[in-house]
Amino acid sequence: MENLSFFLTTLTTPYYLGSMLNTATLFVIASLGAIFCTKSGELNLGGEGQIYLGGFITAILLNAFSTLPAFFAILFSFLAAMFFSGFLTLLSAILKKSKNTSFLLTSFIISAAIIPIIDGFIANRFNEGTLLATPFINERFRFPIIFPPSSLNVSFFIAIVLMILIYLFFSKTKFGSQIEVYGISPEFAIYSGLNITKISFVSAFMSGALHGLTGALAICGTYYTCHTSFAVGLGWNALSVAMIASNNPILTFPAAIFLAWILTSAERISMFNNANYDISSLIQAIILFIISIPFVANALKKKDKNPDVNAKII
Amino acid sequence: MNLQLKNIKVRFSHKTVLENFDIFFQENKIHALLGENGAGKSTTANIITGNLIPTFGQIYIDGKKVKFNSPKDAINHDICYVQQRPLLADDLTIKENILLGNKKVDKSELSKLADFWLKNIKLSSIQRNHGGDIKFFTALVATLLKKPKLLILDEPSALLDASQREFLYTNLKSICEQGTTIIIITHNMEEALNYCDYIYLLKHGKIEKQFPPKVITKQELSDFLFEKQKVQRYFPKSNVLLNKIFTLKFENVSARPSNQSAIFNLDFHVKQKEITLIKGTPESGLTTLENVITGMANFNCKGNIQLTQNHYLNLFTWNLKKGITPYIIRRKSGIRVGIIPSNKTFRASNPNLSILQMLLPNNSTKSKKHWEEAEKLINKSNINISPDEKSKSLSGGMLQRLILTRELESIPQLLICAEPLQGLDSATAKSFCEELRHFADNGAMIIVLSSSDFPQDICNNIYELEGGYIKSSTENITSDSIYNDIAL
Repeated sequence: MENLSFFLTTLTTPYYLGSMLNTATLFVIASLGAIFCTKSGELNLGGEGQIYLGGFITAILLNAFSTLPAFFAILFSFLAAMFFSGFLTLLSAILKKSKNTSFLLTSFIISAAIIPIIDGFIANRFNEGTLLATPFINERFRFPIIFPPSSLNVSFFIAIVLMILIYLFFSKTKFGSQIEVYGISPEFAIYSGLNITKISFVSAFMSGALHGLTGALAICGTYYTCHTSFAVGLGWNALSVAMIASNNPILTFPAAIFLAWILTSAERISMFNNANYDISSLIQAIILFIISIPFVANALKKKDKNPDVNAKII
Repeated sequence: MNLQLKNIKVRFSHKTVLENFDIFFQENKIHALLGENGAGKSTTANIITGNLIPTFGQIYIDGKKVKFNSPKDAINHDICYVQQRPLLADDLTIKENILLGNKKVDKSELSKLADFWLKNIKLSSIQRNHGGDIKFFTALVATLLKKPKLLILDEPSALLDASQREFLYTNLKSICEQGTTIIIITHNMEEALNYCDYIYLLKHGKIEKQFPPKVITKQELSDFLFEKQKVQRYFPKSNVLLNKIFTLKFENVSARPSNQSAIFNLDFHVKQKEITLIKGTPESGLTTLENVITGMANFNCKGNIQLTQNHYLNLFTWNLKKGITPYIIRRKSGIRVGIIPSNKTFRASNPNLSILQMLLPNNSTKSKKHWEEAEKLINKSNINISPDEKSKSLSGGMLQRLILTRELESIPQLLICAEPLQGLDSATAKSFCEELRHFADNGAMIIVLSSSDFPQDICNNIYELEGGYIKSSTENITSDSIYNDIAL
């Protein structure tokens, strides 16, 4: 039974269950951002910086707008967070169009550049006393907790709504279908007369914007402050979620829950067994490797001929 | 090598391509698989080369049962395949492309084969700078280096001119005599009759007949293969397309791409109710010209495109220096444009797109309305496929038919066709040319770019491209001199 505690405790303890779902919430929204880019054939490796920037902008603005009504202060901060993070990714799309640079590389480089800049701002100008963090936001701006004692809050429902909206966007809208076509074959999309500048720019912007929203929700829902490097791991994990979900927006939820479960369980184990926190990353990697083995085995397995099975194109 | 396919069945989710398919290829002979588009020729080749695992059936080599799970298994059994459009790396040299996939290469053998098949071609030159014919021979040399016991050639003459075809087929005989069984996939009846030892006629996924060529004439073969078909109606029946006289002029069109043949100061035009043919080889600049006038050029161009109405009213002028894209041509020019590119597989379509996405790229959501629209286009093309299947399920000829139907559905006022007959069987090609002429007579402007035998009888203006220049031009051929019997 003790051996099963890794698997069960996270699911049966309210604190850990709530933490897992809260982490999954952030993964879902960021992975939806990653999906926007991958659907258009690009890979956004700048998630970390975009989330961090979104969180930073939100924290700064909410502190600046402390006298405004909560609704407007939050709305304006969120929009600003999404705009600036979206613009960060849009830069990569602009550079690709004008200079034919690699979107993947520039998204990573721009993100890598923005992180120490924000660290510097927090350390030197926007910090709370001796903490490497911005001042805590007013309690009026903090999202209500829905599952105490964890930090699971109403952003959980925002994630579900966004997931459905983005699924509908890609499956039911004209522009969403154009993005998919462009992602599969840019040459065909150009030949067909699709406005590929609009497609690539909007996809990039939305990808960054959703990452920025993730940062904003992390501030208002979980941390209530922007401490340095709060976004570490979020961007990369979100990318993993998008890949596990095969770029299907609806599947981001179970994929995020799964990854968050591994992360939360591993951190809990390392905390209570006096191990280095890096052990949790190792545990995640081992588990993901183990679960990928059945897929590898199936690919190598030679199936028996069955007349009812369809022909297979290699 | 004797090769036998027994009781083969190939079924995809919505159709059966081959059923109860039995065929035997005798060693050291040249066999022709002949049939119209969609008969199952390429599917047969894909099974033999391991690109497709059939639903059911067995493969026997020299009486011994074998199983191909991948192309590598076929190669290990000394079976090689030269595809209709050889997949070569355009940025590598010819020699590098030949060496790709060949583990151990006898240098003297390589030199001998290259000197024979690629006469006067520098092996150190970049593949992209050469036309389709050199691509074919590069792929052939790479294949012959492997010393195959079975060689499959898919539409080998599609990229070759008449003298090259003669050269190829004459020398295929000697390859055969050295111990290689050869299978040729073709819809060219003359080649099958003149050069092959056995002909297998495929129809609707079955072998209808098999015989040595001497027992049948070309006419009998044609009558059998292409039963009286309803003429494929690609084009609308309406007689009123335009009530204005449009003229499209291309002036001083020049381009010097770094990796393609250049074109210099080309002037040509097309008017409403006319077909303008620009003929030449890809290395004469035809591919570059296609990229320029269809907006797919990713290099600098010069020149002007001008669309006038009633000879004086300027409707649309575009300076090519500003860059032109299909978005501008299709959406901003003010006229309906259809474009049929030479690259059917990766430009006019993509193997990973669904048929729905390929037919309705502007809006391919799976709504009932779009589904029905896609099914309508599929039915018009006389193809049996579902909109949610992938384009890679289509044979080359079927893909071409679907592309033609898609582009013509909007009743374009300007139609640009590059190599429009490529991949079409004789009957479909003839029918298409007849319909193209009727379409022009109904008011459309049509530009055809062709490196192969496009019937000149139906054209009003003919320009010959050579070395990047227009070498000769014949303009304003009146419709009186265009006779109805279109010879192919």
